[in-house]
Amino acid sequence: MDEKEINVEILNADTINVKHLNVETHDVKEEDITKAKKKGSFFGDPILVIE
Amino acid sequence: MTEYAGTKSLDAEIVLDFIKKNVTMDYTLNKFGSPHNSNYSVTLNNTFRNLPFFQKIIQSSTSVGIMVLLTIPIVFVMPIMTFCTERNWITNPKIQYNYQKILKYSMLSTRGMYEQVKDGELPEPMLMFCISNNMWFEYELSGEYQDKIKSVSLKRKFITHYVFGTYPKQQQHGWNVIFEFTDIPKSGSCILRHTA
Repeated sequence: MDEKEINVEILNADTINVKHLNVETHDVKEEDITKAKKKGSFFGDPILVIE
Repeated sequence: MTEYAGTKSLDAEIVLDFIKKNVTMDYTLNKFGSPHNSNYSVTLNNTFRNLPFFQKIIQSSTSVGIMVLLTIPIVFVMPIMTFCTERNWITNPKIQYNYQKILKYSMLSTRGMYEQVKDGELPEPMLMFCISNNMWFEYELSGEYQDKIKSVSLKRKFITHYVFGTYPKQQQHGWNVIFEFTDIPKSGSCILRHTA
């Protein structure tokens, strides 16, 4: 499995910042940020799940 | 050199108190574990063991059934998926997500799930849990833990491994789940569930 580190910067979620070719940052919607403050799950490959 | 040895030659939880100036060796929990496995054997509240006999049979048969049903397709699918993911051929996140969900349920039915809980005031605006694998984890925050959360991270944990006790190398030893807060949370809780 291709394992990658995940880092979700909740406060700076509006900014897209590609620091390195192997580092990607995805925008997270405001409503998902609110939900993610309560509950969330991660898969290592990498997937962030906010229900 | 001074030695402070316990009176019993058994595993113990040890506390050195610098204020009281004493060392405590606590053997209390030994009765819940096995001397043959001092690191993982102590079980405090085993709800499965206390189940009625037939419920135990039903529960374990269901679990084995799910395991068999999932394991057979996984045995065939896993080499193909590994081959494809190594080459970055799987670009559809839905396929990736569904495949990992199957792996998650397979691991939950075979090896179970762990839950770690932290509540009350923290000493610093950061909370860290160590987990053995990054297959899947889920967190649940409440109270000030939820109000003051700044970020949730999954990072590799590195420790120094001295090969033959001499030659150091930085080696990964599982993963850390790190919660960072804008300020120290004084109440609330954080629950972390992860694959074993």
